[in-house]
This record gives sequence, structure tokens and C-alpha cells, in this order.
Amino acid sequence: MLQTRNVTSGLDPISLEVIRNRLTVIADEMESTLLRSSFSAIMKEALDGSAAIFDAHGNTIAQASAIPIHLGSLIPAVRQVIEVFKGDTCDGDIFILNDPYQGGTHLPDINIICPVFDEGELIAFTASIAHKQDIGGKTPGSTPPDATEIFAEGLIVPPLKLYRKGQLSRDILALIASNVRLPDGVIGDIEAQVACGKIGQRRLGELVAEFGRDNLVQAFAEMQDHAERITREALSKAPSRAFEFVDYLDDDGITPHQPVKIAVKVTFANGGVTVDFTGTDAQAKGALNCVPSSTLAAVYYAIRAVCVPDAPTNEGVHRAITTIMPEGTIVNAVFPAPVAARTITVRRIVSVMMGALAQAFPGRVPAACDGQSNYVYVGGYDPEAGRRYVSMLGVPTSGGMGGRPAKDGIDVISSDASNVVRYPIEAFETDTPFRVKFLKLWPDSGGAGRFRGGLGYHAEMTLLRGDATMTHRRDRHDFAPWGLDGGSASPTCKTILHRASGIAESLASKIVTGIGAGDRIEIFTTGGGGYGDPLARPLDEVAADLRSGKVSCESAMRDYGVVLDAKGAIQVEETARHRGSLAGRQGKLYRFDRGDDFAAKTGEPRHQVELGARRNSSAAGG
Amino acid sequence: MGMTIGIDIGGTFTDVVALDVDGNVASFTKVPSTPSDPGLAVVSGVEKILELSNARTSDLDRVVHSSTVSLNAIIERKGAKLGILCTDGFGDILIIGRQKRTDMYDLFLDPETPQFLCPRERVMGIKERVGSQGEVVEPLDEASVVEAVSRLVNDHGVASIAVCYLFSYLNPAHELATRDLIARNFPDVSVSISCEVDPQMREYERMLMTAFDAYLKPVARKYLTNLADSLGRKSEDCQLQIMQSRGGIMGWRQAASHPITTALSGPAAGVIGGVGSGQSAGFSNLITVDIGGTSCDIAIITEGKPLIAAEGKLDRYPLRQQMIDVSCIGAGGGSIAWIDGGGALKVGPQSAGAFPGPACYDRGGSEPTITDASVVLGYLDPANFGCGELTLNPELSHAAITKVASRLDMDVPELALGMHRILNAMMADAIKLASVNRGFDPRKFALLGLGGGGPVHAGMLAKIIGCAHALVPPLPGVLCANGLLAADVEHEQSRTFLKDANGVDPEEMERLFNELHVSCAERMRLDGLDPAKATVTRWIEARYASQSYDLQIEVPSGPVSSDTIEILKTRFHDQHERVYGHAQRAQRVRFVTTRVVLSFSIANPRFGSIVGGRGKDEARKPDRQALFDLDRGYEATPVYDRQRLRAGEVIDGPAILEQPDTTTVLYPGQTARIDERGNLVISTSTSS
Repeated sequence: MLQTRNVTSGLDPISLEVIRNRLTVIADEMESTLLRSSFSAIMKEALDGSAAIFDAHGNTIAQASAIPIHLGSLIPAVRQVIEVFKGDTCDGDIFILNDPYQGGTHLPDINIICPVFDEGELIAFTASIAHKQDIGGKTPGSTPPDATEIFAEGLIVPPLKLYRKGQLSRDILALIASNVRLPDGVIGDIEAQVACGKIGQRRLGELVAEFGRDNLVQAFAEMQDHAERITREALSKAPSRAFEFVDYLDDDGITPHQPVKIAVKVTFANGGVTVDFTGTDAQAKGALNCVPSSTLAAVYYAIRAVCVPDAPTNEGVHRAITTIMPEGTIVNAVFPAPVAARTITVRRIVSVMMGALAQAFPGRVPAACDGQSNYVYVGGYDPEAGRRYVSMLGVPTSGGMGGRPAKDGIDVISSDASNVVRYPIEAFETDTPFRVKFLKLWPDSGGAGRFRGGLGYHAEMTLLRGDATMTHRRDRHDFAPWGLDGGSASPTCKTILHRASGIAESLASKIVTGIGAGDRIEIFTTGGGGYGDPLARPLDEVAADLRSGKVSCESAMRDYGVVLDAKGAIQVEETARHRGSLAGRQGKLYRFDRGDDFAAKTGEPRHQVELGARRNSSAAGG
Repeated sequence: MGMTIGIDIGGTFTDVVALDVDGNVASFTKVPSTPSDPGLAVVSGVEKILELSNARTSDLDRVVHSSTVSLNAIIERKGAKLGILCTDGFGDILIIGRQKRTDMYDLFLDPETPQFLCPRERVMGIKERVGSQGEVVEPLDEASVVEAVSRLVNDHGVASIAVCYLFSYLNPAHELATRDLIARNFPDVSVSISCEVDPQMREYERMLMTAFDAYLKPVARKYLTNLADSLGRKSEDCQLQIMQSRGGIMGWRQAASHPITTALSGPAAGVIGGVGSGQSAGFSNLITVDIGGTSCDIAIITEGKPLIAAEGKLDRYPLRQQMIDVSCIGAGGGSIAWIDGGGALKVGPQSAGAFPGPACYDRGGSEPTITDASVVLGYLDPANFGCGELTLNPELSHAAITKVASRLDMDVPELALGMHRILNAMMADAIKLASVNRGFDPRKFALLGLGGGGPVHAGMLAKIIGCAHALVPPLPGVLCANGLLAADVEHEQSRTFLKDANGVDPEEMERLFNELHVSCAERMRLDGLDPAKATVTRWIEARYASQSYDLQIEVPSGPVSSDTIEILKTRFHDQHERVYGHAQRAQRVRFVTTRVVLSFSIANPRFGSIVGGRGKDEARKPDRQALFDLDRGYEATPVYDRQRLRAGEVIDGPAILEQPDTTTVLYPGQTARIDERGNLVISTSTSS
């Protein structure tokens, strides 16, 4: 007869796996409730909202995989609530906050946190974060580019009880509604977040009923241990030493061309990693600052993507990661620094993390992606339609992805911490008095490499009627996405404003300007850096790029060492000879290529981390 | 009156079902599929069924087919050599797509857009421009069309052309003129124009639909023409009809002209079959659970109608088309149990598939699968599996499971039972989530177990979810072919109608509905049917002004009036409340899309079969040791030959009911009744 073991009293591997799967499904159901029932377009188009489950101590147990910029960003919010409402947390309470200096990220992100009780005992929290279209402050959209204090950015909500023992505090909603430009949308989205939190509470209740409270709490602990084991195992494959990298933002959001340095030292030891931002510049005058939750999201994303893409999303992963964020720097700004535009900074933090990890895990990290989020807003009055409008420009927010070990980068795609849907041209022209003249790939905008960077784009649009204000917020106008392992940097972004008068202005990356009927905005958004030696790119791939027009004849000759005849056909033997002599002349390969005028702007070398001599054998190509 | 047959092409077998004049299943058969030329299996299947029925080709009245040709052409990248004409300046829309990525942590992902359809050098910009009000900003330069097409045809050897201009859903004149120019100058080149394929806003989605349609058209046309010829269908006496993604059927000539509409016909047929089976057993609210080797497909049927989604995926690309709303998770008989890097037990999503298959198939697979667990638990008879095509080796199942069990300090039966528990919990969670996300309580539905694995798990899934009943049709293996025969002929047309509900002119809306109706009616006529005898339904897709998700709302019958608009607003709020749990009745409602569906009901096959068994005693086979619960241990479990059971008989669980194409597991505490049509109706609690 079968030997049986009592599996109901302890936590066997089967029950643990059932609970683990269920918690993921609960987080997914919370997330889909949040996204599908919310009102803001930004929530659904950009999926700018996340849901998570925490244990009673504020440790993440499961998070639905929304955008990476939210990874771990609910942790400070939940811990702040635990701290502020210690001894005053009751069944039926629901907390709300958005204050970046008390657990939030930036003001448009509202956090809603629900405690989960079982027979009077606090066992968990369900939580969500969701970006609101507007939270008040001096400009529509609540991301004023010229704010120098957080007070200009909108309504600050400290941790409060939105519900007390099940009773909605209408006063709080009324106060919020009076301070925002689109009260219906904001209140509707908050209700969606409450629905999301409650569905999580209900499902956790069912889980307790099925498995018992003690088993569930035990499962929470084991799940974190499990994730930590996976993470430490992966991190232990890195050499036990430090890797450093720096990258720059174009400016501090107020003064054009005033670079801001972000420096990181990533040290691996004993299956853990320490990420130290000492050496990073002081906090910015403008709204590019991060509070720790934003910085941590970037750190967690980079480590997860490179080292442990399959690890469960819970606190166990974070336990293996120590992050040092010096106070008063752009990665850990102090009150009341403005923070609204921190997305650009998060993306640059990802870039420095990737630069450090590329050295620790060679062959597993792509070259830099375009590294900017093109948030250009236009607002004005359309005299023909008789209405005001505020809209994003109808172009992609992203450029190209970096070249990757074994694959070219992808053209025009959301990379690293962001993941946003492109605003359709037909929707943009329907909503605004603009007409798009063209939107096409920008040839040669992907860094040259054995694996070429994905291309960015080139677009132009005209304001047909009325006046408008353009809030132009980009980056990478001054510092190029870097090439990796012998690959070249890609070009910098640029924006040219062609006035109806015939004058053309080249815009700095962050600027607010008035535009009038007949003005044309021409945008170049760069591609990703190249990966590997361009002279090793097989001729058939260069030929395909020439055929499709992704690479010009000039670039093929200059960057890929290809010899073309008068008709543009590749001369195989001459190319082999030419590549050989180029390889001999240019000598060494470097881990990083920082682009043309990097040295002039920073005093640091353009080429960094020597990899040894260029192999002559690679010159013949494949 | 002659015969009607349904033909469904599956991965392994092509199923053929023939109905007699009364609509009863007269005979059915399976022939091996022929993936390289799927039509071969179709023809041999038809020959075989004619032989079984003592009939000739001339006796055929109607042949209904779900073709996998479109889907395969896309998965295998074997469509036509394609060229694209687009508004000058916008040639990279197909590459750029919507810029979003599906997996955020995968640094090595592939492009999210189907760049295989048409390389950049075969995309030609045409001088023309329509503005956002439908006004012509720049007239069509006809010479540039002719020049571009001649380059595509002469220099690139293009066989098919997709035309997608900006705002053509508002003003189709330039696309129509382009189509005519191509037809006049290049009569052999196939053309798809976006204002016909998908006249809706959003340039990427419309271009994608149009490009897919053009990519498939020459392939579909060739396949269907050959098939019609080989069935002797040149004469018009018998109709050859093809299943569409949304579950209706249409004549083969139209399917050849609009191939994208049939791209997802495979899953649709099974769900329509589920509708029929449910009706025959008296259930109109059903969740179909089709469990194969690698995946589990879930679809919801309410009040006898499957849910239709307005968009979904084709391969991994977005497809904006009406389709039966099927959710899929990676869980099936081939799902593998393994231990991850952190020491946790996992089941799936990796699958041993059909090859090498589960360890017990003895084809070289050594990883423990759910099917291996089913063998160890005694649910499956190793000597009687898969229509007798396979003999399973239980020792290999044991060996495979032992590998994982020993690492967890568990014994083999305990792990086998645990594997089932994990997989069942995952499938139950997926079923619950699929229902709740669409605003339904799954406990109010009966579960219909389909596929080789559905009947093994359906009873347990029903119990976990809290459904009172699970249902196993008499021939789950040929349900898709059966579904084809139950489908209505349908034609659907839609167009963008972006208006605030409060500002809608009822007459304008009525006019638009009429235009769509006329266009559906033309297609119905082309199918040889009288549109006046068809049922018309009108739909709008609507949203709150600030939202970007749409809900489909049925429009009350009769001419559109201001009352109609009010009813639609109320229906929208109500449905929003049902699906999302709240409604904002003070918010502005925006209409987005209008749609007309014309359905013509031609058949009413009787699902199930006349039950001719001789009763339990004769059906009883030797008991088998099976394990349902560790505390109960292995127990002698009655095994029945399902085909010998009689209508009205009741079996108490635990029991195992075997038939050639599947095995139904009846769990302890459950009972099963054989109904008049041979359905197995499982009650999850003894009281019901």
C-alpha cells in the first residue's frame, strides 16, 4: 500500500507551487482590473499602472509585470503607510498617497494601499500605483519643465486614510477634485485603484480560507527565500570585483547644455551586489530628480533584465541588492526638489547600470538604446474646431534599441525602463490642428557594429492654424548612446523648428516655446549604439542594409569598410583588403565608444576599456 | 436532399463528419493530416467518408471546411511576394508599428512587427494625401501608382499588393482608384485595399490587416480553387463553405477574396461545436476547455452564443478583426514537471509536445509530463490510448517522475498527484480570470471538456471552480468538424464612426448602418443566399470619452432614432458596470465603430448521437488501480467502455470511462449521467 504523508499541516512543494501561481494570478487580476477600468488614456495606452501584493512587513510578494519603471516603486509607499499608521491600521482602511518624499515617486503617480486582515490579524497589503493625466500644479499634465520646487508640480497628498473602516472619506476626494484639471478622470482612476485593491483583498481572503493563515504566511517567507536563492546564484557568476560607469543627462532641466553626471560602481561579492552612486552630481535645479523609489526601479530593472529575467518579482530578489544613493544627488534628491520629469533620469540610470553590467557580464548586454523618452506636448486653441487641445506630438516616444550580441537592435521600439504605445498619426491629426508630413526611419541612425543598432526616426509636422505652446522635453541631444564591444556610438538626437518666416532654430533638449501657424517641427530621434566590430559585419548583411536604405553608401564605406562600385555593389575582394588595412590602422577595439564630441564635452576619453587588438581574421567578414 | 460534410484540419489528424438528411451524425472518420499540402488529406478524408456512407461525390450537398492554410502560410512565412503602396512619407509604418514590446525583461526579443511580410525596398510611397476630415489635401498622382507597381512587378517580382493610405476609412477614393489602376494595368496581380479590409482608424493596425490579407490572397485562392476542383465543385449544385475567425461561414470564392477573415478558423470551429453540444444537453451557458498537448484554450458561451472579441493575435502580431474570444495558457498533457534554479517544483509552460512527447510514448522523451502522471495515477489505459495509435509504456512514466520526485524527497504517486493538482489549479485560475475579466461568474457555467485532455480534467476543474456540472460530448474528438456544420453563413462589415453619443445625428447613423447592410447583403447574394431571409444585427463599439477600450453594444432593432441613442448609452453604462464593476453615468459616451452582421441559418445538425449501448454491466471492463487522494490510497476503480453505456444511466465516481479518442475521469463524490444524445453530464456534488 502506498505510503502517505500528511500534506495538509505543513507546506509541501505542491501546495507552495499552487500558492505561488495563485499569487501571480491575483496580482494579474488586480492589474487587469486597474488598467481596464481606469479612465486615463495614459493608463491604458502607456499601461502606466502596476499592482502588487505585500506581506505584513512591507515586503513585495508578487507584482504584476507592468512597466519596469514601477518595479519596486510601491515598496517605500507601503513601508511609509506601515510606519505612519502603526497601531492605527484597521480592517476596511484604505490608504492614499503621492508625496515623493513620503513614499511616492512623482506627483501624478497615486498609490492606493489596502491592508488585508484575517480574524483581526494583519497578514498582507494589496497596493497599486497609477499615473494620473493631471494632478494640478502650474501646467496641464503636471510636469512643468521649469519647476524648481515640488510645490509647482501639483497637489501633494501625504499618507492619508481614504477609507476608514470601510467608510469613504469624501473630503479627501473633494479636495483632490478641486485641485486637478480633469477631476472626473482622476477620481475615476482612483476608484479603479480601489477596485483593484479590493479584488486583491478578496482573493487573498479566499487563499487564506483554502490554505490557512499560518501556511500562507509561511509561503510568503519561502517565496522570498526562493527568489533570493535564484538571484544570488545568478549574481555569483559575475567576477568578485567592482565595475564602474558614468553617463550624462544633457542638462539640469533649467540651463541648456549644463550636463549632469550619473556615476555608478557595481561591486559583486558573495552572491550579492552593491550598487553605489557616489560621485553622481548634485540634485538638479529642474524636475529631473529621482527619489529613491525611482532610482531603485532602474537598478532592479537592469539587474533583472541582465541577470535574472525569470526570477519571481518579490522582495527576495531585492535582498541580494544593496544600493547606496547619496543624499542630495539627482538619484536621491531632498525635499522640496522637483521630480516630475524623472523618467528621463531613470532611463539614464538604466544606461549607467547597463554600462557597468556589460563589463561584468560580457556578451549579455546590448549597446545603449536611444535612452530618451520623447515627451513633447503641444497645447493651444484650434480656431476652426473652436476648441482647446493638449496633446502629445504624434510621433514615437522612442528611437532604436542597441545592437545586441547575436542580433541587430530593433528599429523604433520602447526600450529599457519605459514601454509606451505610439500615438497613431490618424488619431493625432484628428485631435489637433497638426499635419504630419512624414514619419520614417532615420538612415544611419543605428550605431555601426557587427550587430547594428536599431534605427531611430525622422519626422516632420506642421501646425496648420492657431498658435500653440510646445513643451519640448527630450534628452540625448548632447550625449550619444554608446556603442559596445567594438561597436560605434549612434548619433545624437536633434529637433529643428522651421519658423513660417523661414528661420530654422535648432532646439536644446528641454525647452518651452511658442509656435504659430505654418511653423514646422522636424524631429530626429536617434537609434541605438552598435555592438561588436563593424568590420566583422558580414557583407550580405551590409548589402541588405544598403538595399533597404537603412545604411547609406557613405556609411557603408566609412563605418563598415566596404568598397562599392559605381552602381553601389559591394566589391568583395577589395573590401577584404580594405577592411584588413583599416583593422591594422585602427589597431585596438574598445568596450565603449562614447561618440564624436564626448571627450570635448567631458574631458573623458571617447573610447573606454581596451579589449585588445582588432583581429585581422574578422576583417574578411562572414 | 444530399449529404453535408464538415472537414477540420488539425495538427495530427484531419477530421471528417457526415450528416444524414435529418442532421444526425451518419459517420465520421479521421485521416492523417498532410501539412505540406493540406488539401490532400481533405480529399482523402472525403473519399473515405463517401465510402463509409456508400455515397458518391454527386450526393454531396454542402461541404464546410475550416482551413488552416492562412494561418500556416503566416507561421511558415510562405505567403505571396508582397509589395505595399502607402501615402508618401509613411513607408515605415509597418516596421515602426506601435513601438511597444511584449516582454519587458527580454533584452534579446525579436521585432514586434511582422517585417517578414514586406522588406523596406518593396514599400512604395505614392503622392496623395487625405486629411483628418476626409478632405483631399493632395490628389492621387496616378502616374506614380503605375510607375510604382511596374517597379514592384517587373523589378521585384511581386505577386500581390497591399494599398493603405492615410484616412482612407474616411475617404476611400484614392484607394479605389489605385485598385482600378492596378487591375487595368496589371490584371494578374492580386490587390487588397485597406478601406475594404479594415476601414478603421489607426494606420498601423489597418496596414497590418491589409498586408496580411494581400500576403495570403494568392495562397488562399490557389488552395481553395484546387480544393473546389477536386471536390467537383465547379458545378454549383454543392456549396463549399469556409469557417471565419468569428465563427460564421462563407462561400469559398469570398473566402479566397478575403482570406484574412478566415485566419483563426480552427479554434472557432471547436467553440461553435461546443455551442451545439451544450444545446443538445440543455446548457446554454458554457465554458469550453480544450486541453491538448501543449496548451489549454478557454472560450465562454453565454445564452448559446460565443463571446466575440474585436481584436486578438495572429501568430504574435495584433489582428484587428472579429474573432471568437479564446484565451490560451501553456498547460496541457505534455506540460513538463521540473525543478527551477531556486529548488521550487514547477509544471510547464515547457511541453514535450507531440514529439518527443511524454516519456511513456517511448519516443525519446525523458521528462515527466502530465500524461505520464495520468498513467501512474491509473487514469489512462496504456494499452488503449489515442484511437489505438499508441501503446504507452508505464515504466518510462515511473522512471521520469522518479527523477524529479527523488530530488523533492517525495514518492512517485505523491508527485504524480501533485503535478495534476498544480496543473488543475493553473487551469482553474485561468478559467476564473478569463470569466471575471469579461464580467462573468464562472460558477454559473457548465464546463465542456474538449481535446484529448479535456475529459481527464473537466470534472476536477469544475469542482475547483465551483461549477455544478461538467459536460463531455460523445465525440469530443470530432467536435470541430461537427461545429462547422452548425455554423451560420455570416457577413460582417464595420466602419469607424467617431462621435460623441450626444452629438450623433440618428439619420446619419442609420444611413451608415444601411450602407454596411447593403455591402453585407451583396456578399450574402454572392454566396447564393437571399439576404432578405438573413438575420440582421447592428452593433456599435463605444467607450467613455477619456478611455481607449471599447465595449460592443447591440443596437435595438428598427431605424435609429434619438431614443435608440439613449438606449445605447444606457446599455453601454450597464455593460461597463457588468464588465468593470462600475459605470460613470455622468461621463460622455463616445461611439467608435459601427458594425452590421448578417447571419443566415442553413443547418441545424443534431449534436450527439443516438445512444445504442446495452448498459453498464456490458460496458464494465476490469477494474483498475487508480489514485485520487493520498489518504484513500490506490483503489480498485470501475472502468467502463463509454460507447456501451445506455441513455439515462448514472455512474458514481470514482470511475473511468474510456472511448477511442479520449478518457473521462469521474472523481470521487461525482456522478455522471448519460443523456439522450449521449452526452456525459457530470455533477460535481452528489446532491445536484
